[in-house]
Amino acid sequence: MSAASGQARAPRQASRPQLQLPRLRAVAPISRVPRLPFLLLTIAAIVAGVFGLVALNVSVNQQSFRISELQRQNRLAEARWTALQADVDRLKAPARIAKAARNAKLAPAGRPRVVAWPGSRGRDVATPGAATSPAAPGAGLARGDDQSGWTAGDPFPLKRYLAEP
Amino acid sequence: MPQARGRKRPPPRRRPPLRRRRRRVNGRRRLLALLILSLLAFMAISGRLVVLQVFDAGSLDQAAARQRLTVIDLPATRGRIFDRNLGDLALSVPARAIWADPRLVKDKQASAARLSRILGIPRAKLADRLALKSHFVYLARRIPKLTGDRIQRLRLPGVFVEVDVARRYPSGSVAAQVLGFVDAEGHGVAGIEQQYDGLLRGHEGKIQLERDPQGRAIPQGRRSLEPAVPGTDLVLTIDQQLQYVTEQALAKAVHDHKAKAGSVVVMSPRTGEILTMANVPDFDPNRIAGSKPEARKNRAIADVFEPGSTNKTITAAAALQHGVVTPKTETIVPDNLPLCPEKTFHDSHSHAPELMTFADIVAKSSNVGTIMTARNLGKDRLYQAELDFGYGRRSGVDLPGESPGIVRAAKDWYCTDLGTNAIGQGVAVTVLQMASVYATVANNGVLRAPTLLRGTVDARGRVAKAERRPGRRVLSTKTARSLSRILEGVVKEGGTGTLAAMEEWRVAGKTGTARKPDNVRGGYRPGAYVGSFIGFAPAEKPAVVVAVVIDEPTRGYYGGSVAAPVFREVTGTALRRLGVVPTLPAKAVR
Repeated sequence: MSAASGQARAPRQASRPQLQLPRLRAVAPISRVPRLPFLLLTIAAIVAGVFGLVALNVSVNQQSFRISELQRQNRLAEARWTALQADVDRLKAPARIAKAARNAKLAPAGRPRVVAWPGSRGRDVATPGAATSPAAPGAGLARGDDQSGWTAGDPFPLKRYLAEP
Repeated sequence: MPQARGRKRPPPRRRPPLRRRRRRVNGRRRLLALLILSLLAFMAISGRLVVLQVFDAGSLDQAAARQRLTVIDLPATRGRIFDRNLGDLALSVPARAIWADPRLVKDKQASAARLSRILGIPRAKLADRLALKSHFVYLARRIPKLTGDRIQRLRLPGVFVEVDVARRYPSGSVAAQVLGFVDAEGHGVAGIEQQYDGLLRGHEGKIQLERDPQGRAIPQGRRSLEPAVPGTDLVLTIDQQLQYVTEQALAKAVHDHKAKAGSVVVMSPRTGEILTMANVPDFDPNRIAGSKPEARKNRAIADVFEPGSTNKTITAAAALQHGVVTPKTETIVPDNLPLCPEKTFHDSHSHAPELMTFADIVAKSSNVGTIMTARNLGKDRLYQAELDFGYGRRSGVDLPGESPGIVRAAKDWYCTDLGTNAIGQGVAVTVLQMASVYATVANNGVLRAPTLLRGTVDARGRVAKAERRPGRRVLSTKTARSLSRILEGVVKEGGTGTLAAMEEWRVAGKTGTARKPDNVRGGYRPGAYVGSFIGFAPAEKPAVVVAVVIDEPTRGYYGGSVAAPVFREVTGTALRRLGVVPTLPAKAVR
């Protein structure tokens, strides 16, 4: 049966027109991309990401602890400053200074005398009003005698305000 | 073979598939039931989820937050109080409070003994507190932080240390009645502390943070901070140094004259600023528990007294203002005057009728001469003058507990009231009101409301000047100057206030010696007087007004002898401190 069919097929092949078959050519085998570098790169990226994330987290937490510690130190310093300020105020209290002066056998200086130089606006020539206007705190005292603690360079703004006429 | 035999075996009897069908039916039903059950279970779970996630989400979230979140209150630091030169008068410092849960304290006697050594509180007292059947009892409050730390290191079971704040007054009793004090909760309950409590207190803050079961803060947990706003600092008009000198001078006078009490007010007439307000007896606001209520009272504004002859200034001012007299108006003044049928007024000493100018009447403080002038003036004009000078109403000074004084309306006056009012009896005023009267004369007739606040400094350091109320004219400038010259005569030779005179500055003022009313029997208490001197200096352009009142002096009682020396000392110190150059020629130095 197969022979018969082969015979029958031969003339048909002869009569078939020549077909233009595409030319076959040899191509290079498909090159497979190596998986290992990709795998390593991916693992490295993941590790780096996780490590970075952990590092960031640790850093943030470290900062948080540092901030807490600094805030605590700040509070302690503030408390200490206030306590020291209270001590200074207590030592500056007029009653304590007077007592210390008595213990040191010091006596009040008495009434000061005002000297009017010739030609100056002394009390004999000045209008009383000009001489009697209330001065800024500490005015009329020698620099060293200023008990108010006022200094020209003091940054506290109120002092400037108080020094205003 | 059975087939071969032709015997046909009957086909196996096929049972009807009833059972399988039933099984199939049952299986379907079961599946259906399972499906329904599953659906129901799913719906129940879904419903519950909806309830939890939608309807109860808020409350559950809050409940969870409550478990994790802790709120720590941040107390606001109370504002400081400065004097006019920025010296601290009051400030808050960190402190500790010690409390105990007596039920947790194991050895109460031993604990009390150990605490007693550190706290300085008697052991028996501590043991009594630890014996209480309570869960909470304070053992000590507002103790220094270091002491609290020492107690914490003892690790006594049932004894705990907590953060506290203590209000300190570094100068002790200086200006104590003006400053007032705070209660155990840190709220102002007297003086400036009470008056400006709202400003001084500030606003509490809070920290909200998540904590783990061990109580440690979760670093990346939810955390919110609402910072506390510190209280506003106050700058007063008080001069701390001058206040101290004033209090010392007053205490010495009260002691020397064996007086019951005394008050001094120093004011700036041009601004109404109070430079000092001193009272004796005084107290230490750092030790409230040991002070007496009488000592805590600010007598200068809370107590009233009959001003006596210092009130003649108002009679004189009204008479001059209305043109009833001039300083040179001459009058024959006897030593007694029968004003009403039942009342005859006398001078302090008997004398023959003498010709006196109005200036002499004031300088010598003649009761009769003053009442004669008041009679010409009339009761309505005298009463109106008292009202104009601020009698019968509060001055508005920024302190609580001010008395308005007592002044009776002219329409209700008895026959004698014209005479008593003219010489300062039958009318009651505060020391501050009297200081304001003389400040008005010193300020050319314009009354400035007295004030204690110079400015404020808020938490950001912003300075705000205190607002000043506008002045009110009471006298014409001419009348005020004329009256000032008359008052200068009081401290000159022949006047009643010579002990108030100073070498460096001209002084104007008036002495007062008033009898004290008997609140029980009526009338006046025999031997009970109030001696006073109120004046200003330099008389040409006054910088300070000083009012000195000594209550019930028993060793001498005339204002000219008990109060005038205090006036001289305080005024001299105030003028030197203000840098006022002497205006009188210096005596030759030998």
